[in-house]
Formats: sequence, structure tokens, C-alpha cells
Amino acid sequence: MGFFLETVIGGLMAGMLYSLIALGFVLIFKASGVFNFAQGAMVLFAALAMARFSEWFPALMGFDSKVLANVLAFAAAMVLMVITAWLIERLVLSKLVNQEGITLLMATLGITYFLDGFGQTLFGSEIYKIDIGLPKDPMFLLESTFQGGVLVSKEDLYAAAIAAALVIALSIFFQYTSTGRALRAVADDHQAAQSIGIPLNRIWVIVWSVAGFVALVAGMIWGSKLGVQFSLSLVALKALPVVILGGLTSVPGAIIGGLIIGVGEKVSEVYLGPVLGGGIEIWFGYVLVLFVLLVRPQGLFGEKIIDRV
Amino acid sequence: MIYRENGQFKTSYTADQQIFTITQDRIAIALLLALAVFAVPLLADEYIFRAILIPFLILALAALGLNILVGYCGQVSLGTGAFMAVGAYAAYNLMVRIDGMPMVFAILLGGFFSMAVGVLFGIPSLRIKGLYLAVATLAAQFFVDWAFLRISWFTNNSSSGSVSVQSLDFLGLAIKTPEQKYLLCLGFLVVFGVLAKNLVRSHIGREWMAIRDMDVAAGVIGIRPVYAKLTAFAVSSFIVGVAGALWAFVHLGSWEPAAFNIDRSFQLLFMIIIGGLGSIMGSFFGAAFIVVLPIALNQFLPALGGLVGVTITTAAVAHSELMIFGALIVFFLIVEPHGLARLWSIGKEKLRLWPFPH
Amino acid sequence: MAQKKIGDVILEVKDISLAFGGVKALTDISFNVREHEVRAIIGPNGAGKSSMLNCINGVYTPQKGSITFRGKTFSHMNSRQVAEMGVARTFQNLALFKGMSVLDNIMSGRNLRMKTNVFQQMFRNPWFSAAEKEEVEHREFVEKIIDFLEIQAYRKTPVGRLPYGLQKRVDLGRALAMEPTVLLLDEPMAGMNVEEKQDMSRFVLDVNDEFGTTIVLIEHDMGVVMDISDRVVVLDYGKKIGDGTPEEVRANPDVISAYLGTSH
Repeated sequence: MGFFLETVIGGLMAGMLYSLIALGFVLIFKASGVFNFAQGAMVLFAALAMARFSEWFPALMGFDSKVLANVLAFAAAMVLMVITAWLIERLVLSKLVNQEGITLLMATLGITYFLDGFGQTLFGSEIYKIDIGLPKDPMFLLESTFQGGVLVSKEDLYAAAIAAALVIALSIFFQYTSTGRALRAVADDHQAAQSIGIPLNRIWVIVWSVAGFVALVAGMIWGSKLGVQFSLSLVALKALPVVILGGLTSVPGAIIGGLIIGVGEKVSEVYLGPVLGGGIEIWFGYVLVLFVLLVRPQGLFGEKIIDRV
Repeated sequence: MIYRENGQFKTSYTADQQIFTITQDRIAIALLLALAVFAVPLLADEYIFRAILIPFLILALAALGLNILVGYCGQVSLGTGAFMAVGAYAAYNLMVRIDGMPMVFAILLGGFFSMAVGVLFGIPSLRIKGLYLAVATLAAQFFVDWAFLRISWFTNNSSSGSVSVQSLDFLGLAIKTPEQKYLLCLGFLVVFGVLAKNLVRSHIGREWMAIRDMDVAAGVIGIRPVYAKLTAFAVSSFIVGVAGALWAFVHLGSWEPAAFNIDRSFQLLFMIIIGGLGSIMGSFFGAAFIVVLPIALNQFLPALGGLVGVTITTAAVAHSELMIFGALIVFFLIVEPHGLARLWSIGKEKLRLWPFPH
Repeated sequence: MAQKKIGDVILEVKDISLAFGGVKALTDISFNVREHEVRAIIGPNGAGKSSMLNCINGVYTPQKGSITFRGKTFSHMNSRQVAEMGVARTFQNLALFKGMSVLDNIMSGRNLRMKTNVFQQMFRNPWFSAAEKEEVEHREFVEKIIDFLEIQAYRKTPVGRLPYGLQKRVDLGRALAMEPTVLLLDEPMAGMNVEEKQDMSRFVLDVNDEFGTTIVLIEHDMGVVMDISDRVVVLDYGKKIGDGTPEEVRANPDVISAYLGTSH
């Protein structure tokens, strides 16, 4: 039983991180109607930036404090993400206003390839470290109830807490501020939003910057766990089922979806995996989502698509 | 002036409905085919066959299959690699486990297995649409990735996880030289191209396009979405499966499941988007573009760097390829979202008027 | 002009109620349509007229009520069944297949009657092919419709490029290609100028005259309605407020206050 609990807790925390990345997707989709395949590339790009900046700044400016290095690196990476957001809006989004969904999706795939190449050109293609001081040692809970206690990774716990805080902040932002309302209007209908005076370009830059911020935080957390390397870009592929499960337009959906997939993956890997030959994590989330969609084609919390004729 | 249709009056509907109605088009295609069959084998060297022509022909076939599903029927599929894999591994198992199985037969049967899997994974399309469907098709991709990696029966219990095919034959004739491989693939492409073109200009093709354009109205006319979508999945995955078997047998020789992973799926999707959705010619254009581009960049970039006095490392070339590739895709989508096929038909329209401006 | 022979009731809707969540689109609507007549449905915007047609067509499923067509009663319709029974329609916002040419759009209306299978179509060729023969046969029928609607010059043009009035004709052509016994027209004259309306009215009347097709017509132009319809149903906020000949309906005080207004 203790082991089961460990698995579940581990899954919940992994799920929280998935939710964070999924949130980036949902934000951009809610506000610009674009399914941003490049979210993973953005995570990698941001993480690379932060990792390298945290190396370069101390060397360039000659100070020693790791905290200062991290803070500066974070800020610089954030600035870089805002510039990226602005460039994406200028060069890509504004030229593709009101194109079909698949065109926009393909455009974000193009951006993915570009960012992958560009990031590696700017920052190099080795494995880099991000050290934000997350404790690496595990802790044992509930030692009285279960023998030996339940193993919980402190690092994962901190990560999950940061992710949760960010998710709550963003949900509030979307629901209760006027900018959030404007974002939702834009997601519904670009042209209509433009016609009532919502500045489309500015909104998009804001949204992609916020998504960039989310990508940076996610990249920072994953990067400190696994090291910053190319496979980070693939983490987006893990978040896709979360986005779809929760429904493309729902922020709470992204959270709940992430937790479900996180737990589901871990539990199935541990208990089903040995039966099926192992390594089922790569498809478990997707197959789960497939079955859910068969019952609810719009995801758990997505909006029902009504075709008016 | 040369491209005018003046004087070419059709006196029957059959004549009006042909694949190439303009005489100049017919001559051009006949010339092209003649060149492809007779001139190319004499002129091309082994490298061009191996690196450009054969991959182009096989991927053009796969792109054709995908275009039927995505471009004509409007069902987004991101799992094409999986269907290629099914075709390849099915054909492999048939050849390895059944003595005396002719290769062409194995390849076609591989297509049938791929078709069955395709229809199975096409069933969700009856309920799920758009982006949701796209992500659902990824379930096929990742599941098939895993199955061919972990279930050792599929790879004939190979210890390394990779399988290979020794000798190729076409109805008894051995296929060894690059010229022979090229002609085999060309044959497959031409035959399937004609069959596919026939389908899309007949009433099943109109059903597919109706579902793509407005499936509610399609229902009102009496089109059954189930039949239309599943036939699209069936035809598409059959063609893609055959292409997969060809890719494994003729181009790779020996392969692992990674040859058919999600990058392959994306590559095919790029081909049909850049080439032109809903266009047979577009599939060919797109395949040519995507096959030639990395090679061109590989040759061109170091040379360009040499001109400016900068040495470009292989890693840098790889990264630049990614950047240029991504930028080109975005560029294309902005400038001509309907792809090279649209540019081609615009070009032909201008040619009709030439030398007059309008 | 010979007096038109109007037949028995061919289509009847009884107590149809349709709601979307809290919005009641239709409440207890009952009326009938006689064979060969031109039946108009009028009412202010949002009265539920299109929703009524959508129920008849199987696009929406009413929560309550029944639809009887040629003696057979259904609680809800299935689109394909309805098409097979000979009911065709046009759409208020044009539901044309934008990616196809005019010819292909109208040919798609022949779909129910095209019987060759996928293999026959694959091996189509100009010399010996059942699929080719079938395609030519139906092409001949469709060309007659194209002649009737006077759109010969546009047959290979993608419909997305045509002006609105011509697109509406293609919509009508596609419905006609189904050789319907009942034709549901959803605001066929919307967005047209006077000449285009005259043309469209002429087409509608010709179809009714020549082929005896029963027409159910949603229309806002009162002139058109009074001129060409045999009987009129009036809807307002999802309820029926009038039913009868054009003259009866024009004099109905409820209809006047809800929709027609009085001249001052």
C-alpha cells in the first residue's frame, strides 16, 4: 500500500508539471485560437537561455553569487522570451490572421523547427545545468503508518508547488481581469474582436509572452531535474494528451487533465508495464485520451462544438 | 501562345472529364513519362538514385496516400508513420514466414494490413474532429512505435531490434541495381497515381470533399459520413502501407521502428501542406521539395560559408537546416497556403495568356 | 394559366418542441403541407423558422413531437433517410462545398443515385468502364439543371469565387439534382436585388410548375410571399401565430402586430 501511495504521489507531482506545460498550450489557444506546437521548443529555448545566461553572467560580470546569477539569468531569459513572442507575432501570426486551423498548426511546427535550430546555434547543443537550489534528497512521510515511510522526492514537491502557484495565478488572471476577458474575446473570433477595438497584435504579444513565461518556469523546473538538453523539446508531446483530455479551452481542465495523466502513467507503468513488456508510458496518455474522446469528443471540460447550418 | 486551348472542343462528356483534357498537357505528361522511364536510368548515377530519386518516388506515394485523407477528406492524421510501419512489418513477416512469397504480393498484402489498422484508428473520426482527432491519431503513432519495439514476434525475435530484407524481386525478376529499384518504385507510383486520380474525380471523391468542406450539408444530401470517412482512411492507409513496405524493402534494406516515428509523420504532413492539400500533383511537388531541400542545403551551405570565409561545422549545418526548414515552412504558409500546386496552376494560367499580360 | 392541382397532405409536423439548453427555439408547432403547393413560413428573425426546417431535415432532433411524411411517422429524422425519401433543401447561409467547382457541387446532389463501388471507380477509363458510364449519365442530368439555372459559363469555377447571387443558384441546383418531391428553401432570396429576386422567383415557380415539386419556403420579402405562395405559416418566438392563405394571414391581427406592422 505504501508503494502504491508513493506511485500515486509521484504521479501527481509529475502531473503538475505536465499541467504547467499544458497551460501554455491552453493560454495560447484560448487567446489566439492557435494550437501552439512550438510550446515544447519554447520550453527548451527558454531553459537553454537561462542555463547559459547563468553561466555567462558571472563570468562576464565577475561575481560569485549563484542566487544573483540565477535571478539575472531568469530575467534575461524572460526578456528573450518576450522578444521571441513579439517576433512571432510580427513575422508569423499577423500574416496568418484568419487562416484555417491546420495552417496555423503547421506554422507553429515551422516555428518549432526554427527555434530548435536557433536555440542550439545561439546556446550550443550539449547538456547544460540549471541549479536553482532545489533539494535533491528524498524525504520519508508517514513513517508511523507505513513501514519505512512513503518516499517523496523533495525536488518534485517544490516543483509541484511552484507549478501549482503559477497555475492558480494564471487562472485568476484569465477569469477576473479585463485583459483576460479581452483574450477570451480574441480566441472566439479574431475579426469580431478587432472590430470592437481590441488591439489584436498587442494581445497576441501579451499572450505569447505569458506562454513564454510559463515555458521558462517549466523549462527551469524540468531543466533542474533532468538537465537542459534537446529531449526537453519533446516534453511538449507528453503534455498534448493533457491539453486534449482537459479540453483545449479549459484552464481547470489542463490542471485536472495533468493530474490524471500523471498518475495514470505512473500507476500503469508500475502495475501494467511488466505485463505488457514495459515502456508503455509513451502511449498510455494518448490511448487514455483516445478513449475519453470517444465518449466526450470535446474533452472533459472543453466547449461543445455546435455546427450551425 | 503554345498553351492555348483554342480549337480543342470536346464533343462528349467523357472527353471533357478526362484526367488531362488539354492536348498540350497530354503531350507533356507523355514526354515526362518517357524521360522518366528511358532517359533517367541512362543519365543518373547511383548517388542520385539512392539519395534523391528513390526516396522521392516512395515518399511521393506516401504523401499521395496522406493527401487523400487530409487534403481531400479533411481528416487530420498525425500518425502516418505508424501506418507505414504496419505496411513494412507486415510485408516483412509475410516474406520471412511464408516460403516462396513473391515480394510484390507481400508488399500489397502489407498494404492490406495497414488498411485494416487504418480503418480501426479511423473509427474515432466518426465522433472526434479537428485538433482533437489529430491528437487521437498520435495514439496510433506511439502505440505502433511501442508495439514494433517491444513485441518481438513482429521482428521475428531479432536480438538487435532491427530487421532486414535480403533480396528483392519483381515477379521472378531480381531487383538489384539502382535502375531496377528506381523503375519498380516509379511503376508503383504511376499505377497508384492513376488509381487515386480516378477515385478523387469520381463520386467517392466528391463525397470526401463534401465531408471536408461541410459535413452537415453532406449529410443533408444523403452522404453517409461513416462510409466516406472510413473509405478515406482505408484507401489512404493502404497506399501509405505500400509506401512503407517499399521504403523498408527498397530504400532502407534494413530498418528499425524508429524509421517510422513521429518525425516521419511530420515530414509527410509538411510535404502535402507545402505541395498543396487536395491535389495529386501537389503531393509530388511537396515530396520533391522536402527530399531535395536537405541535400541542397548540405551542399550549398558549406560552399556559401567558404565564400564568406566562415567554416561551417556539420553540427552548424544541421542546425541551420532546422532553422531554414522551419522558416521556409512559415514563409510558404504565409505566401501561398495552398501550396506549390496552386503556384503551379497560377503559372499555367499565366502561360495560357502568354505573351499577353492578361 | 391552368389551375394548379394541389394534392393531399404530404408532410405534417405535430407539436414539435425544440430547445437548446434554456433557449426554447420551437414550442408545440403543428402545421401541414399539401402536395404540389407552395407553403411559406414567415416570421421575425429568431422565430425558429430555420430550426423548423432543420428538424424536418434531421439536422436537429426535437425534444417533443412527431413528423409524418407520406403516412410514415417519425419522432426524429435521420438526414440520410430524409434525403432518400425525396426531401432536399437549400440553406440560409449557403452550405456549398467551397473547395469544389459548380459542376461538382451540383453533381454531389446526385450522390444517392450513384451506385458504382470504389473498385469500379478506381479503374475508370474512357473505353470500358461502368463508372464512366454512370458519371456521364448523371452529368447529362446535371447539365439540364445548369441550363435551367442559366449558369453554364461557371460550371468549372470554384464556387468560392462566385458572387453571392450565383452561389445561391448553385445551392438551389444541388437541391434540384436530388430530384426531390419536397423542396425546403431557406431564405432563397436573401441578399438579392430586385432583378435577382425576380429570377429566383421564376426558378422556384418553374420547378413547382414543371416538376410538381412541393415547396416549403422561408422568406422575408412579403411581396414574394404573397405573390407565389398558396398557404402561409407564421411563427413568432417559436410559436405559431398564423396559418392560412396569404390573404387570411395578412389580415390576422396577431401577425400584423408581431411582424407585418400597419401602414401609417
